[in-house]
Amino acid sequence: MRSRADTARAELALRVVALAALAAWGANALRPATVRVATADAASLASQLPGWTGTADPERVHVALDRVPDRPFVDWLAALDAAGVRVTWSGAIAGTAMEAWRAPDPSGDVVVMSSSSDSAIRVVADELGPLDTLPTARAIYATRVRDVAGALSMRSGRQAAAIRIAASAAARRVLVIGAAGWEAKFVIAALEERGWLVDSRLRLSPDHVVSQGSRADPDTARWSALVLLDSASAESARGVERFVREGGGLVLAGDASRAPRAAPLVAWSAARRAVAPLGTAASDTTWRGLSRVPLVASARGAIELEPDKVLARRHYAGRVVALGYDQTWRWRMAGGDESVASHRDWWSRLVAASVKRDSEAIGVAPLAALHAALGAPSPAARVVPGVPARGVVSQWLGAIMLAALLVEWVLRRRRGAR
Amino acid sequence: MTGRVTGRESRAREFVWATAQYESGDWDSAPLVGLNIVDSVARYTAISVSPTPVVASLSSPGILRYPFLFLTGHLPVRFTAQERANVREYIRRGGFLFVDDHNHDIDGVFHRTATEELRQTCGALADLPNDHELYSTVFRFPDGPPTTSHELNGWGDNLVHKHLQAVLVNGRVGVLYSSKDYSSEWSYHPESKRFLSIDNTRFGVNVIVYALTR
Repeated sequence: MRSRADTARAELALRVVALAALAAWGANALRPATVRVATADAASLASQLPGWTGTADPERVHVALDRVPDRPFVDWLAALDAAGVRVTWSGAIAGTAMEAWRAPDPSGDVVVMSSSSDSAIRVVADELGPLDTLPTARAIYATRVRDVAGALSMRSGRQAAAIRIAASAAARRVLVIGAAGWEAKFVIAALEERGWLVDSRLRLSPDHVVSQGSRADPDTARWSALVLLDSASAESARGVERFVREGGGLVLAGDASRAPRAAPLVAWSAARRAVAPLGTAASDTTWRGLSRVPLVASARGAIELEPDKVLARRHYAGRVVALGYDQTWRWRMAGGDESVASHRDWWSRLVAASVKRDSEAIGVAPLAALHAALGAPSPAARVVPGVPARGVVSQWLGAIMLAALLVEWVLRRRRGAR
Repeated sequence: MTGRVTGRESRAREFVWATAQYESGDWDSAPLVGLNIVDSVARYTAISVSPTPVVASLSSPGILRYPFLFLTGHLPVRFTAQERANVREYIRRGGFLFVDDHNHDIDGVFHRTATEELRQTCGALADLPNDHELYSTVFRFPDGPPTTSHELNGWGDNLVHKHLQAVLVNGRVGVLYSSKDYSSEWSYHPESKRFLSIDNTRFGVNVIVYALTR
């Protein structure tokens, strides 16, 4: 049996332990937080995040990245950060971005704009496999891909970005107005072969027009775009300005920009018709035929798609594209082996450039998204191996203090003291 | 296969009548047809036309400068390999080949050889319906292709052919084939039109306008 003196010494010792624990608890509260450092790629991040979110409960997390994790993991880290765990990251990651939209033409093509700050080859793919490889020489590159199945992705080195494009829009209707002739015939043929629904009004004489389709004035309910092949057509067509103002596309070919009625729609002037030098090959895309009307941009905001040959501008909700070429049929008929397809694609793209898109472009920039979610990168945090987390130490010290005080109270009660 | 700009082309934007020259046969058997039809096109429309028809050799890629070609003759048509390749490419690119049997005889050598050549080169000919837009582009021919005096006189095969035939390319006529002998019907000097009560070249205008607009 213990003597009263032994019990008193034990109580004193317990008080000292409790005070020491209290002092240590205070010191622990003042020391810097312990940092949990994780070098994570997508796979390890997937396995560590549940632990950080649950039992481990770190106060700080630092991830060293070699690429931007998939979007759900970035969101998870951001949620962790919002819940009080400070999340930082570091790593030299190349900036990669992709924007894509469904071309507003019947082809169903997807236009992909990509940029990357590194020199790795960029591979555009869908869920069935690679579709195109983009050269590394240019930081920004545009391409068109066809028959996209599922999500569209771009991989540059280790970095990937993926988006999902809406389904193809319905076929579009175009109205072509011009003089009966080879240019009109082959423009209509090119557009129809590319899937456009084409109505036409081709002038045979001042009082005779060969028509196909509706004879109504241009309106955006019927037609997506209007193609005027010459100045006489541009001068005689009614309601063109209203059509463009309401969102219709307008293509002015040859000398159509010269028509007084087209004046409110253009931001360029048409110079004197130029003829290709003798011996120019029909496949020469400088001429695309053998003559053109040079277009000189004025200061009213014309965009030069091909300097002095193809220009464009906005007019209220619509777009106007002008091209000076007036004999592109020669390019198709007498050009090289690919000239039929080139002529077809070129005309379809010009008309599509004038047409309003069904939907806005969808873009993804993983590095920018990472910055937005977690802020700028910070240097890797100092690693203190073997030191437990501050919260864990506080809990242990608190438990020791409480246990010491409890035992000390029991001992005092047993010896009859209060 | 590619062409270069010549001095003539650099000045012209108009329709040019081109008669197809081929190795076999008498390709130049109806020299006035081009002149006559061009004259009619100029009379009835404002289409810019070249007053001078040209001859385009089927063995030369130069035929690609002329999206309209007229081919006629009495004798067997046997294309060389080069002619066949050029004609095939011509049709693929959107050219319009108008072939007329100058014999007006479906048992004649021109008909049998030309249709066989066209079948091998461009595809099988099929009857063109008489309500096709070719018959209403400018002038209306509700009964289909107008008859010719040679049909009505009982020459050749002693038949009035109810249809023209065609090879369609992307829904358009690429090859138009006639057994009606328009080569004889239209082969006269344009000045002589004033002696006709009804201009018999009006269907030729339809053919040209169709070729230029479809």
